[in-house]
Amino acid sequence: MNSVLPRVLIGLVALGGALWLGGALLEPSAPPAQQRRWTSSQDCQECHAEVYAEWEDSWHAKAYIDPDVREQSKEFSNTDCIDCHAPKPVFVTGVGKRVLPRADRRHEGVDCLSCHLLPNGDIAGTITSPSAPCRPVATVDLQRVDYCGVCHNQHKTVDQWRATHYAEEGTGCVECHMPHRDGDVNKGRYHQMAGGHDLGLIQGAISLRARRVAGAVKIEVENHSVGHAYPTDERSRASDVWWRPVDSEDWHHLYRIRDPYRYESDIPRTLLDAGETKVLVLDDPAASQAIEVMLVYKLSPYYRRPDTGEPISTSEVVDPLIDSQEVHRVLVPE
Amino acid sequence: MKRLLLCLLPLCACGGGTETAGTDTVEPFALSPVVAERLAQLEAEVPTPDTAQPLDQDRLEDLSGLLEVVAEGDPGFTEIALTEVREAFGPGAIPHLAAALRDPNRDWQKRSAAASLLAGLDHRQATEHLLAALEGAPEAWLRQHAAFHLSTTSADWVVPRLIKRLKYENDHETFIWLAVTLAHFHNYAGLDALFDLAVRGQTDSVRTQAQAQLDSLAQAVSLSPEELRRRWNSADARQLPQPTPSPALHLELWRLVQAMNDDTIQLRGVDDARYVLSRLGPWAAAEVSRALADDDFHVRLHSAQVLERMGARAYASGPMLLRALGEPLLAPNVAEALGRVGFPGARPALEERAGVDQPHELRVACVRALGRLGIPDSLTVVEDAFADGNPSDLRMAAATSLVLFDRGDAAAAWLTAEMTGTHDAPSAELALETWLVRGVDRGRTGFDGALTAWRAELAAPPGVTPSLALLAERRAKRAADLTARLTALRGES
Repeated sequence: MNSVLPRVLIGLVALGGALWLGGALLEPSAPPAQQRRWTSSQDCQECHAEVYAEWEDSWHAKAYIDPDVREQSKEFSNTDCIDCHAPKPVFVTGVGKRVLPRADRRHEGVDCLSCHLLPNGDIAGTITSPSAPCRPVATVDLQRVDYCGVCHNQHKTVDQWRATHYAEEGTGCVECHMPHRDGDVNKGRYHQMAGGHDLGLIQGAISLRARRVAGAVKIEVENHSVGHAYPTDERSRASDVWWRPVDSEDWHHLYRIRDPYRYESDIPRTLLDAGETKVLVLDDPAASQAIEVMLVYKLSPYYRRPDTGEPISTSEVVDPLIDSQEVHRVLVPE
Repeated sequence: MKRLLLCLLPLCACGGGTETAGTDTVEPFALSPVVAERLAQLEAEVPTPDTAQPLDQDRLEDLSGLLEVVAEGDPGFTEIALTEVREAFGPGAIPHLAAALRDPNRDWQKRSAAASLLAGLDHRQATEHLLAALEGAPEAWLRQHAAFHLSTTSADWVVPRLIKRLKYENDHETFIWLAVTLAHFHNYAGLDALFDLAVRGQTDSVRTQAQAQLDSLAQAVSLSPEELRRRWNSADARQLPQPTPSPALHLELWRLVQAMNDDTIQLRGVDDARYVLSRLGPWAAAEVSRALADDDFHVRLHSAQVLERMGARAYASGPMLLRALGEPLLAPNVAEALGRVGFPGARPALEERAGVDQPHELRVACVRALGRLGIPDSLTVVEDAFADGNPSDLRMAAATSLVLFDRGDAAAAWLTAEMTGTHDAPSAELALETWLVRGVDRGRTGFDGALTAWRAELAAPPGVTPSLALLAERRAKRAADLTARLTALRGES
């Protein structure tokens, strides 16, 4: 009897295991979800609330409604701007192909569907799951630099990146602009797509140094960690170096970092390429006392009169920070 | 076999796309390399310019003397010198005149004389040098002279390049001569610049000159400046003088169409091509609409955009656009174009594609286009789209169209609520402003005061870009004021 019981128990366990395994194998998988017609990024919110909230807070979401864009495009009467500010889904027009404008939901700007809608109505994602409501299909193209390039290479950002060591190492757009949440690959990528509007990102990638050398002030601006030129984009973005004696309210403009627009043929390109350091020498008697040097970042190349909004020259600027964001400030003692 | 068919059935149902354009009442194009064929044909047709014979030293000295004569500015001698250069020197003079034109060390009179003689030769290569000066000279006065002298040639093929300069030029006087030379070739793309400069020119001289040229151009076609501008921007543009474009001008047009193909990811060249093509005369609409059948999708879509931007001046492209409506992926852009060119023959096809079984983007575009066409028979379709209510951008398109149908009262309350909503407040605001303006135009009670109050509510001083928060604040104030006024008006009635 004693010798029979263990064998019975073993048999029962084996039978149970076999039944469980058989059941698991024979159990039908979840049926494929019925294909839905996606007409708005709001459709995505239901299941992807976190991602949707991140996107909603992003500049992609504001691409069509941002007041600066609307002013520069004259309320989009310059319809050329619509191509990138309300694009058709990139997978529809083609990765690496020129982006094209869409006729609907323009107010959603560069939205979920612009990036994720596939030509057959399914959704491009990082996993394939036919039973999920949006039937995602794992699509590696989502992470290709050429994918972002359909819009972002219009101002040569991707070309600038190709000339860097980041390209050789395979560190693309998403590594910096869509990092994994909390650094955890299992949590997916952050969808706020921080860029030039994120001062912290700029501060971490650009440095400003200043010291006295042989009676003058030597100032260095270094692009040590941006994966492309600083600032990227032509026309709109600019970065200026200002200085002033510490006991003075008046700032003096020293240098501008900017890519001029197409018709500005008399202005040189002064972008700071990846890894480049710009050395400036300030040899002004007023700088012989203690001074402050400040690097600012501008989303618009102009400085404007605070009361009327009229563009003014740098020599007329009293407070550069009215129109700019402070990236770094360095004190140079006497 | 039966099982195999059952397995294949769902695949067939998926078939290549989730949405189709439904019953087709239009016959789509059979696509072909239209652009390549047209270019080959025109390149064979446009003559290659003669090769210039180099001048010997004596002839160079003679030419230099003629340049001096023209530089002195006596009109009689200038005419003689022009004739002499044309008849005795011909294309051989071009390299030397071009060198004089470019030479920054020469005085301006001689460089201007060189421009004058180059124009007098009326030769392709000479014209190219003038265009190069217009497009690249750092001296504004030289660009002005080049623009002016181009009007004395017969080279209508310069028109697209002159139009492109309208996009990039920044010297006010050069604008004036660009507009004048364009008008010489019966293109009025520069009229807007003249209207603007007559009011906002940098100097009194510029303002006076712009107004004088505006009057002169209008007088030449026996119209007022305003009426000339209205006609140019309407289907009546066909009634303005339209000389037959040369094959060389056709060639320039097709090169621009080719620049819109999918060979490059860069939009820059495409932007320029769209800008130029959409500012050509009505004749160009017929040409561009042929590209709707090209086998390059980007060419087809951008051609539809060009016609859309030409607006009513491209009225003649209506039938071709209607056929292009049969291509599902292109259809939304084509629908927009049909609305803008105002082709009433498109009404049934647009109505059909505005239906509930149609792709969303197409529905939105068709509802918007029906509003722009403004044919009363379409009102029910637009009202149905407005009643459909979801998604909101279709309703916004329908509300905007109802305003254009002068049925904005039905959408005003919803639009006012949308102004403080999260969907598309800017479009709601724009539609309501249009509704108020139309109400004022029709003398409706209370609209005058409502529009005045509406416009007085600014988010920021003129010229200052307000933040999103300030814009939202303005919209909330406008919406509250409008709601109060509408309530009062309803109470009065």
